[in-house]
Amino acid sequence: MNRSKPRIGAYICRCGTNIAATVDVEEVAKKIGFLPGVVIARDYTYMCSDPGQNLIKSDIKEHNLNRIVVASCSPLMHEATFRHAIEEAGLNPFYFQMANIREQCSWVIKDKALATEKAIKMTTAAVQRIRYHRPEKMRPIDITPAVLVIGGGIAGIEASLKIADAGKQVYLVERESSIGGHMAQLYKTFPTLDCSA
Amino acid sequence: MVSVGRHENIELLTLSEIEELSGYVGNFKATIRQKARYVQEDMCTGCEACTQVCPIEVLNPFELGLAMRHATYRNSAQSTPNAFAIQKTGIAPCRDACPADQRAMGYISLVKKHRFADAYWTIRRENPFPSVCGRVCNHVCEDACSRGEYDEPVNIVAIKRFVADWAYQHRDELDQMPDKSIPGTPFIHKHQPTGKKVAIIGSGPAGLTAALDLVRLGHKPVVYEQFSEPGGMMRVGIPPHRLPYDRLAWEIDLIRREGVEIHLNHRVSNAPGLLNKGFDAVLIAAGVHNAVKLPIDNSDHPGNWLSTEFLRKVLLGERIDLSGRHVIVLGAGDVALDVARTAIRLGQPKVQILCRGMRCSEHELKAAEEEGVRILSSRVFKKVVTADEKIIGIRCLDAEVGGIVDGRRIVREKPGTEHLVEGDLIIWALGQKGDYDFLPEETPIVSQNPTGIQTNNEMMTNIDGVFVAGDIRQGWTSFVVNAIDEGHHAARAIDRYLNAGAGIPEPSHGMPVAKLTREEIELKITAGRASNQPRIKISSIPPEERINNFKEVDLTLTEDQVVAEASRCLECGVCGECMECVAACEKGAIDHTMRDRIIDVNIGAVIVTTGFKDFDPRIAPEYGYQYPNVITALEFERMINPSGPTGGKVVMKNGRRPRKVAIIHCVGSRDDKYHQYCSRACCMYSLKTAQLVHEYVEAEVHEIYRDMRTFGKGYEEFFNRTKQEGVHFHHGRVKSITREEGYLHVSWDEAFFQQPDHVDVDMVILATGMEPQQDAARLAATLGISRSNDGFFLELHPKLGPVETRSEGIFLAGACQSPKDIPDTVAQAGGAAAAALSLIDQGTVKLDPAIAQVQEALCAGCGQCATVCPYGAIWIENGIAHIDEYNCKGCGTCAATCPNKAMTLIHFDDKQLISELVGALS
Repeated sequence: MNRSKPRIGAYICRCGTNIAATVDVEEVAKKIGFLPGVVIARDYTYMCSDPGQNLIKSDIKEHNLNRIVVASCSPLMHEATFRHAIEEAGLNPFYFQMANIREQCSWVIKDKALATEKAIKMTTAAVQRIRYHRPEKMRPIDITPAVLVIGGGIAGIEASLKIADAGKQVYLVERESSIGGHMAQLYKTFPTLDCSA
Repeated sequence: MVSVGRHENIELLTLSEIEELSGYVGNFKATIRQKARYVQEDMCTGCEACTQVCPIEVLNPFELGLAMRHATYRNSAQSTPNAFAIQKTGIAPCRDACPADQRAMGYISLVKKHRFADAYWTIRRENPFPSVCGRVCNHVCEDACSRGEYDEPVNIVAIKRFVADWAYQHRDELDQMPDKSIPGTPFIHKHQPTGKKVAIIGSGPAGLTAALDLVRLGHKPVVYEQFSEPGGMMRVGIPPHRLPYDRLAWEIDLIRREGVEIHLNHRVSNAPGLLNKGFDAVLIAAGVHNAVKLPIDNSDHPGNWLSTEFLRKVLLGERIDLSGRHVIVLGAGDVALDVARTAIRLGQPKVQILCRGMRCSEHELKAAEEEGVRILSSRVFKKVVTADEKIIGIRCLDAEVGGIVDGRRIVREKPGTEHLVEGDLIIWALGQKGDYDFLPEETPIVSQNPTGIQTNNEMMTNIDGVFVAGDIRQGWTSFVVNAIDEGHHAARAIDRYLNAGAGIPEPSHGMPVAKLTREEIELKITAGRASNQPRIKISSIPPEERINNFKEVDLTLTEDQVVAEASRCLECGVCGECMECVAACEKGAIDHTMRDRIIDVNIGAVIVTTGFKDFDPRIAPEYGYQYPNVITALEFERMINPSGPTGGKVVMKNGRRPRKVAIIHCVGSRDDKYHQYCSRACCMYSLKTAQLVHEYVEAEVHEIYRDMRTFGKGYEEFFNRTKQEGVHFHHGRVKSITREEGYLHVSWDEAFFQQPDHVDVDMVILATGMEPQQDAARLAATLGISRSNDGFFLELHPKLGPVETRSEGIFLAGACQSPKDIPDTVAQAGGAAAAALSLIDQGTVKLDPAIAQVQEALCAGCGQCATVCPYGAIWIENGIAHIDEYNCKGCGTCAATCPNKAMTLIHFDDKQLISELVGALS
């Protein structure tokens, strides 16, 4: 991997019409394509779809890309998706940056010209940033195989028993002196009219 | 519930709440506070012996206030865990104020239940002199009493006196009883002897309290008393019209019978020397027995007597006749009054008390004046005037007397007001000091004569093994109850000394003081949980019947009076630690010294299942909950439950079965005034309630509903069955419920065309909705999860993440997420369990690399980063900041704070951020 010379691929998602209706995605792709280091800039209907991801993967191979920017939705939605995709194509997943031109742009700006301008700036920011990305590593760490359940009503009891039956340690914390919650106060319960204790 | 209790993989922590959650997905640490149960869960067999003897009654929250429960309680016979618990809200203010730690609230609650013998044992736990303190105590407990905020404090001292008198009258029976003050012991204790001997100088309250404690610890105390009667100031300082000799003698006899040796007429001249005469420790508790005189003219004339000497002579039997004399008592306190009233009884001389301003018990002052004692206050005296070698009076000046500052009165003499107060006998009662006759001439003990003897924290003098307690330690007089406290302290200190530091530790309550506010008091009194009667005052025998004898002046309360007075107690701390339960528990499972426990647990995931709070219909007056026989559905559940407060009977306030019942849907739900949401369980439980009323109560049932939401599996069929059983359904929105003569009038609008819009019934059941728990906001903040607008905890996504939260590793289930019924709750709990299992079963979790890192070369170790880190993930070691990479959340606060730019955030370094900004601003 060549860290000194970024070869950036930038992808502008249309998200059906979610983005494309207010952002001129072709204009964005065109502008981004002129930025230094950007080897390829495209727009596509659904970047998150399999064909969308495959587009990135094949471009990485074909154009020897080493940085990927996707301008689409919130990273909460699809950052993991794209990181996974570029990892499959042999890139470190942190050579990736997302610009949220949907929630922070197309959904909140009505004027197409303004939205397009903002989308360009947001995508440019991502492109500028990614030059300085480094190949980071996720840190694996052991999980404590125990669960804390807060509240000893029926939900807490049910969840505790399920987990404990699977052989895991459960700490069931109850505020009162005994468990059962409201259920312990009931007589018969619908729809079967059986006893609640 | 039972399976939870015995599952080997479930650790059940009851009476517990989460205080803190730290860490991250897969590796959380929870800090849990477990409140003291005061009953050892593993030892309690649930036999109920403790609750049967508990005198305290409080509203039972499990029964929704429909019944009472004891301070020692268990929610139901089927509870898991089955162990009892004890409810304490703090230490009662009366006990907190008492120097001797008397469990006043504890014994008062027993008196309220006519349990005088039990009350006696409770008093005697800390106090070997109930008869004395029931008469002559300064009762600071009453000053602290919460009831004083409302009207007048409980007459605690009179209650104690009654109990002590009752015990004296039943003293022969007491001998046959086990001493409940020390569980499992007979009245006369048998102790495992330690072989250690302790000499005690003085048989006053301090010396005898210490002696009794020491003998009960197995040591051998020997008490030396210089006078011919034991009791110290209680015997030679307090006249019998206030404290009869026989009561004191009985209480001292009880102490002797436990094995305390008292040698009378034995003056010790070398206290430290006793260590060489076979004693392992010495306690000086000699008291302060010498009244002081001021060096004014003629104060050395033999017509000047000392209060201590005068009282001692009279009380030890010397015949003194004062008839025809003019006595002037100099002093302002209780001793001056004792002297004056004793003098009156020796031939009714003219008695005047001369002082700046009285500082004494109001009750004693009134009694003295009734007996003919004249108080001449606002005066300062200048000299004793004599003529022909005889005293003729005291020359005085009038004075302006102000308040008390630093224990002394502010006094301004008025020049030119000089006058003579006539009298031929002066008795000085201005204060007392100790003598130090028990120390040899060249004593190495550091005394601060005349203000006491210097001791360390363990009440020991500078001589190893010589201890001091009581008035002689301080160098001035205080009350019996203070001396008792000193005696206990000294006994524990001596025990620790004899056991080389082991032995009994100093007790501590570890609880806040449970002083009630005026609002809380009013609530208790209006709810009838404390009597609204005024304080019962003690009465006295008429002055003419008492001024020529030493009969006790104050009368004890009658049994009815004492119970009435005890019923005024507000039982501030709930449990008053009367210790009846400890005596009753055969397993020894009760431990009142338990403290809250902080428990840390490490977990990989958290499931929040804190449930809901029932809507409180008191805030919705249109539903008539303020009227009798308007109840909530949950109250109905308790009533119809065979283990509930009515044993399964649904009855009205008059005890009769209702003939006609209305059930109101949507109370608090789907209503802009209260909650917009549907509580989702109420339609169905209302139908169930209707079936139960129809079947078990055999009453006519009317349901007033707005929409019938029977969406679940088998629910519509349930509705149909209810209709077929003959339940009447009315569509409408309830406008009002009003109370009419003999019935409740329910009316509604939006009724179907030409259908009824009201019904008159005997009972109304309100189908109240669900609300978030009261502390949902606090828990959300503790766990770092969000809440939706309605206040319930917010799931990650209503469809894609219904049991997850935005905080990875924290899951939700049940009504804490949104109102739901039992089938949905159980289903969601299963989902949450699966999600949590799926997480913790992965073995490892991958954490984001975006955390802080230190450029060691740049770090100056100033520590500002550690101060600002919200996760406590930074510490300074060897002058350099270190990062706990697992607790760092990558928030960047440290990087923004570091003045040297030594802190950077991986994946968010300056270069990356600045070029991103450049891009955005291009």
